[in-house]
Amino acid sequence: MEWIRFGLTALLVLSGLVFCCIGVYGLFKFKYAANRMHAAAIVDTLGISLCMLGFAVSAPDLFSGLKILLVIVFWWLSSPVASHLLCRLEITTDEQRDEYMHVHMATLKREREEAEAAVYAAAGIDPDEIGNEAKEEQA
Amino acid sequence: MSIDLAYKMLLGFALGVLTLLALACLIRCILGPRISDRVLAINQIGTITVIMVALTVLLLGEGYLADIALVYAMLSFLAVILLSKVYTGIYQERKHEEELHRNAAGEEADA
Repeated sequence: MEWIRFGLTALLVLSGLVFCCIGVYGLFKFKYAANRMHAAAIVDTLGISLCMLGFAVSAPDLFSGLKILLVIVFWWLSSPVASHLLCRLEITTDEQRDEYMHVHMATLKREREEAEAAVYAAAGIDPDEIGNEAKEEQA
Repeated sequence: MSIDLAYKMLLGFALGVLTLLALACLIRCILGPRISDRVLAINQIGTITVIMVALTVLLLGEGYLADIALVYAMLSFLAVILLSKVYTGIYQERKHEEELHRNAAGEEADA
C-alpha cells in the first residue's frame, strides 16, 4: 500500500517537474514578453497542480493534504488575475508593439470587415447605398 | 530499499531540479530586456518557491509548512499585482508629464 502511494506520488511529481521544465525553457525560447507569458502559464497551471497533487497524495496527515490542495485552488484563482495585469502592463508600456503585432491587427481588421459584410448580406442591404439613401432623403 | 530512503531520493531530486529552474528564472529576470519580462520571471520564481515549500511538508513531515505555502502563494500574488500596477502607473505618469512639457513648448512657440 505504501509503495503504491509512493509510486503515485513519484509519477505525479515527476510529470509536474517535466511541465515546469517546459515552461522555463519557453521563457528562454520566445522573444517577446507576451509570448513568454504563454509559456509561463504552463508552470502556473499544470506544473504546480500536478506537483501539489503528488504531494497531497502522501501528505503526513489529512489536513495538511487538504491545505496543499487549497494552494492549487488559490493559485488557479490568482494566476489569471496576475497574468491579466502583467499583460496590461506589457500592452501599455510597449511602444514598439505595432512593429511585431501588426499582422494580427491586419487579420483582426479583415475579420471585422468580413463580419460586417456578412451582416449586410444577411439583411439584404448593399453597404454602398446606405449613405446614398440618406443623401436622397435630404435632397 | 526502505520507503523512507525512496521518498528522500525522490524529494531530493525534485528539490534539485526546482532549484535549477528557479536559478534559470533568475537569469531571465536579470537578462529580461523589458520590465514585464522581469515581473514575469519573478512570478515564475514565486510559483517554483511555493512548490518547494509544499515539498518540504513531505521531506520534514511537518504539517504546518502547508500553511506557509499558502501564505507564500498569497504574498507572491500580491507582489506581482503591486509591481505591475506600480510600473503601469509610473509609465502613465511619465507619459503625462511629457505631454504637458510638449504642450507648454508648443504654446511658447505660438506666442
